[in-house]
Amino acid sequence: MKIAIDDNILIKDEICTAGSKMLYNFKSPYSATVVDKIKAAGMEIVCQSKIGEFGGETARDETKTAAYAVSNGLADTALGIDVDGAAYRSAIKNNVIYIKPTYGTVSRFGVVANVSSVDQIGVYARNFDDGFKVLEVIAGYDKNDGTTYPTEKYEYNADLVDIKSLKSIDSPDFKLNDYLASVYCIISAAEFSGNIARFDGLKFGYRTENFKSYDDIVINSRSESFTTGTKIKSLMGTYVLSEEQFEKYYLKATKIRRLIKQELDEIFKQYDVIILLPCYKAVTLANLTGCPAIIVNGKLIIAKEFDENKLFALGKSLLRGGI
Amino acid sequence: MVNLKILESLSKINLTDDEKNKASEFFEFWTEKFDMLENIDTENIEPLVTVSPLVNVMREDISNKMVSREKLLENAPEQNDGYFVVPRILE
Amino acid sequence: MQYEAIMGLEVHVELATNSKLFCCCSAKYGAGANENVCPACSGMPGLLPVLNKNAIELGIKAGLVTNSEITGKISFDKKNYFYPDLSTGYQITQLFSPICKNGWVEIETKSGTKKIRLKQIHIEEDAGKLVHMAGSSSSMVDYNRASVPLTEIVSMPDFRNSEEVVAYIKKLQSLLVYAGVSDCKMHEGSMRVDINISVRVADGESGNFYNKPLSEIIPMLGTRIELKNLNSFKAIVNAIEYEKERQIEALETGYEELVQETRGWDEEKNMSFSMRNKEDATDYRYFPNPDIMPVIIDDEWIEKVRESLPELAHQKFARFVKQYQLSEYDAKILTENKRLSEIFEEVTGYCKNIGDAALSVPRSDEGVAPYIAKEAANWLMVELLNLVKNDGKEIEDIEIDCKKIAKLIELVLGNIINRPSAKEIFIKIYRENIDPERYIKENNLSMISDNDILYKACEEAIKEDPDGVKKYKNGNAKVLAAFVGSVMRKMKGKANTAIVNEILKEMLDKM
Repeated sequence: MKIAIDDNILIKDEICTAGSKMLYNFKSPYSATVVDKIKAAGMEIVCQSKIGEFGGETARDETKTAAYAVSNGLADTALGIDVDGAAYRSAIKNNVIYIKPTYGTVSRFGVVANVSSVDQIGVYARNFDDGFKVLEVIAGYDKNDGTTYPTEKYEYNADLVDIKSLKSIDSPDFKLNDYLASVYCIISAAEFSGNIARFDGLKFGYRTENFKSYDDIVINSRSESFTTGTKIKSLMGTYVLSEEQFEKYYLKATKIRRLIKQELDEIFKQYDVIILLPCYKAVTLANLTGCPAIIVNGKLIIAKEFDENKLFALGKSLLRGGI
Repeated sequence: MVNLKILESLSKINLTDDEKNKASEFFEFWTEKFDMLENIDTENIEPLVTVSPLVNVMREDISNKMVSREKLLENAPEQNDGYFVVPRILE
Repeated sequence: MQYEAIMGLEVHVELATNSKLFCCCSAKYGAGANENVCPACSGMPGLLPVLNKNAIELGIKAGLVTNSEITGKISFDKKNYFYPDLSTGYQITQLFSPICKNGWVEIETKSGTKKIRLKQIHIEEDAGKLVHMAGSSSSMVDYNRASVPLTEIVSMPDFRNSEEVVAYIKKLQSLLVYAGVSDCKMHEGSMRVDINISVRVADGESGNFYNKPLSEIIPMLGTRIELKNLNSFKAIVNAIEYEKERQIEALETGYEELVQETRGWDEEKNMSFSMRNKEDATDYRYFPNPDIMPVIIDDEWIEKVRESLPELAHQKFARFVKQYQLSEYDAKILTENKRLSEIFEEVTGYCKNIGDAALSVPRSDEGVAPYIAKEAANWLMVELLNLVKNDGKEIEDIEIDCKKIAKLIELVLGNIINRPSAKEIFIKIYRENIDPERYIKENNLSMISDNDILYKACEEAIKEDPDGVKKYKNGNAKVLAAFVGSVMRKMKGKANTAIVNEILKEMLDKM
């Protein structure tokens, strides 16, 4: 099994840039848990696939991305997190499948953090058997990640699900539909801005040559290396957390997030899977709620937490034409 | 209008003029949408900080060394005698 | 116009854990620069915080010994700002749900007993250390201290003078050291005291503050100044006195405007100075840390922690009074400091063998006889504490062989040596760890117990001073001491002064 690993999943002693000039020379002193698991399972890491800065936006050279590698046989599968839908879009564009597991099943130890309460390492593949085989290897409790469930090992088996009995719904009405994007934007910007505060040119990474004071080092190292998108996202995060806006924006968004989860849970009382077109709102719904999701045949399909097998079975049947 | 200068100062990020324009557009677009959030009644709703229901995730108080100091300082732009060096500090 | 000072304290103590709050690096003091550092506490990407259970339990203990309410569900928040000693760009602290609330600490001053109310106790990470290189524009950063667990104990503005502040800090030290929460060493930085001080006209209202919540008190207070970097009791007392005067003068003369600010204390110049505070007037944008799951502290857990508390100072005090029949005064001094109390019990433990053959005193099977305990207490309270204090040290930092002290006590009580010699030997044990018996032999310090020799010396002393005899006979009892001195000189100090005293008195009375 040949695997490509996105550049924001750290591999010991390798340069891991997370797609950012800020980490252009960062030689990681340790490996992500999933990397250790992959190696222990005897799988071969064939390359570090390229991403946009910190995973958002698309990589500059698309032929170096994970989805491209899988699509063209350079790798059988690839690991990468979805940021703001970039992974979903990339999978669709390259005609491969993508599996995002339930939040808390795969360790984020060693993943350059984006949106802490959303990030999950997903799997790109050409078919679901490969994809879930890899997911089985990487999923499981990690003492180094306090957000992982205590389950040591997950087993994925499509045969346990009777396709015919699956109840699916296409693009259901969602009362909070108009608020999904805002809630996601606020929460993701807030957490992102906190996570990139560590990049200051002092301990590692890019350091500006243009400084007269400590402030200069921090400001210029960050400003000279971050993309415009990252800068603006960070400023937005700072804004929604600021004293004046905290209650109105951040706190409000987290409360509505609970309502969104509740509304989704209601739908799952009646249906097993929800089939969506992968627009921004669908992406935010899948990511904000931590539900497992797959990309197949241009669609984003989500299921309840821990219902990966339903997605496995459904995905397989939809893909019987093969890629 | 959002005061970008203060945000830049707090985030320790400087925007170019072009970026400032893009940022203003971005903020204008989104704050208009954000303001609609007040239409939702969230009285007595607890914030959802994480979707995980886990509690009491803790570890035993045992110390061990993850990496050597040499390895830790390998990536430092400047180091001296085991310390990270910060040129031009205030005070 | 009479003014009064109103003060509140924020005390940070480092928790006595093995590892740091959110990573497995050692939390021990004294390692070489960045030896106790990992990718997590030095701010590298990809790491996640995993909470140290012992830190929570020590937090609970701190709450228990300060009569606090323990919060049932706690979580951790990010406090965001940039500074070189803050490797991740945020400090993990507890804004929204501090672990303890509404406790109190009782203090004793010359004016009596007073209750100091606590607003809250919370747990947070420490930051690293910045070392400024002399003659260079660079600074060096050491992250050993980064993410070491701290509890911050915030009091209400219930202090009115420096005596109360000192009493409170000492009481806190005693409570926390006994409970095993922290070693509270100000000179090592494991206890840091910040004082918020403001002055106001003494209109008699402040007496009512003790019944009021903070929100009602704050509008009644003057401009609040925060005093930081006070590393000793001396600095604390001097800084409070200076700052009070400075503020009063500012209000009365108008020469200086009082602004809300942070000030440091310059020990050499004996004055406070304005600090350009790294945290001055900035928006910290606190928000809950999504990587750390909430902690539910239920009654069962609290009880388990309570049961695991070692004997506390007030319990030991009561036991010392009962078990050793010490006076309350003595028991108080011995138990104020945990290490001192342990030294006392170790010494008396070795003293259990004293009292049979040596002294013809019935041996108590329950332990050491009260008069022996009293003897041990005196040596420790007076001699040992003085030596430690004059050396400028803390009792926790010294090594002393308790077995040798017990031996010394045995020799003194057995009249083998007199008290001046014993004192000399005690100092030698403290400084050089000498063996008392060998020292006595080598320096010929054994007292002469042969009564014939003593009688002879007394007779001589009396014969040599007929005037003195007259004075004594005329009722001047004090002149006895001169006779004793004379005999001691003849004996070259090697006589039991009490016995000499008795013999002289006997002789003089007969004359």
